[in-house]
Amino acid sequence: MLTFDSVTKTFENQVCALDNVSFNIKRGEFVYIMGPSGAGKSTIFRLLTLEERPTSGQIILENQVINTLRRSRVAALRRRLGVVFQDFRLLPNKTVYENVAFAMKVVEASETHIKERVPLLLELVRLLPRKDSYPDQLSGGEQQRVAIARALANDPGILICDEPTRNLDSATAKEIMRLLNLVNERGMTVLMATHDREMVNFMQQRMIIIESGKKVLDQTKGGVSS
Amino acid sequence: MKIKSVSYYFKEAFQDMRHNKSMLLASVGITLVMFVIMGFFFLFTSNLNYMIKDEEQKLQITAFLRDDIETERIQAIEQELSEIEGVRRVYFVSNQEALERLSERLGKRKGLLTGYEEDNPLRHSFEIYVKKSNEVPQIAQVTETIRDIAEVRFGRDEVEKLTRLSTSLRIGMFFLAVGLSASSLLVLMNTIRLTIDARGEEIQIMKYVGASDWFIRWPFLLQGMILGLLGALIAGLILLALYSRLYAYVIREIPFLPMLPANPHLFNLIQIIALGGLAIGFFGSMISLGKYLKV
Repeated sequence: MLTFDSVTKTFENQVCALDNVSFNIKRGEFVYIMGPSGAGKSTIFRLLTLEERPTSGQIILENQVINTLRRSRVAALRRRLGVVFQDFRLLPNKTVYENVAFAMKVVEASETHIKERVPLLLELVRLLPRKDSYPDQLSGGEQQRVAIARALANDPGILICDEPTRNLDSATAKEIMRLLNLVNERGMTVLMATHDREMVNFMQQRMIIIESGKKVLDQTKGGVSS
Repeated sequence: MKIKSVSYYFKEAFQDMRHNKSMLLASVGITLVMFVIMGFFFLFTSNLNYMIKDEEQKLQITAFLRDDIETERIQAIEQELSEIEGVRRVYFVSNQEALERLSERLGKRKGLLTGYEEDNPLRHSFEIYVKKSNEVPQIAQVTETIRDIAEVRFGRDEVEKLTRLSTSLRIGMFFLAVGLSASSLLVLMNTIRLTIDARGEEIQIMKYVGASDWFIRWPFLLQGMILGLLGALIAGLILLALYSRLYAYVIREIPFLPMLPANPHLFNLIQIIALGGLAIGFFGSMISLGKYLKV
């Protein structure tokens, strides 16, 4: 599904954010990318969304080398990724429904498809009764659920979540984790960056630990893999 | 591009313009001022060229005769002139006719000539029309050698002076156009940048969910183009109103001054200005959008 093959990213100021990192994620897996701030977790995500290109190595998504994609193909790639941010990034002037529909509208989905799909997504994240609320009328947890619904809107192949529970209290964070687990159980591949060990322990899943740009541990649910 | 998306682009563009009225006025205003100034310069030089053409067409030699010449001699000179190689036609202008012509050209101000009817200060002359304008100097030279011809004039000096003036005006107009377009472009870019800034988050989300660059660009490009076009069209209307008045005045008061009519000349200019407005809007938005699309 997703392969990082000896990926190195060195920035112009000679800071090495990722150093020869390799891993392979299978379809339907739930994988934590763990590590302290500045370890390189965000770089992995930025490389995946092609905001950055690796200095060396290859990134393969669904049998396609993506790091050499032309700029004009980047938009099409991003439709295959669902992205969830720690700060939700909802549009404040749009309702819950409109925020999710917006993601479909901007990739020119048909109106009929939008009308069918958005209520289903809101039901999945248990926010259908609040579809007409604005983000500032919602709690942090609810906002993050809207963001997850939006990330799933265009039926991506993989959901990438950049510390989605960071700004939430422990109970709400667990609620979000349960939701992500539910999405994963329905077949979605989930890649989640976190530095919250409590969350990782709460949901026993595969864990890749990055420190100072290097992969230091790749531990499956039951033990340690290469 | 889907029709649904086109209506989305327009909706977004108008929504942004409603939210940003003061910058909207500033950009339309500066574009308008720029096009009015450029339009006037353009019309001025066009008219100057028109005058040059008019002069060139009239390019002829005028041979003034000595005051005390006799009628038989005039006929003989006419014969001699017609026989010169390259001469198309020779026309005798008596001092009486010259005075009448002058009076006609002065229009309302012909009162200035009162008293000259009895004591006509003008001379008899011949208008010599040539076949090829480049032969004018030689024919003028030959004409000068004919006895009883006091003075020979031809219009080349005026034409050359006008041409020189027109060339320097055109150069001036070019630099003025560059300067004005640049300032108009800057103001427009600033306007678009403000609306882009206000929607930076939205653009970023659009990028993350996979909206194409063009989908993101169109509302802003449309906005720029609408602002540019609006400025250009208002400028066009102002030019049309002012020029038509000027034209009517010139026809009435200075009838001998050749001037281009508004139709079709000014209408063509308005079309060019409209295209210019669209182009400035388009490129202004394109440049402003540059860095936002690099997510």
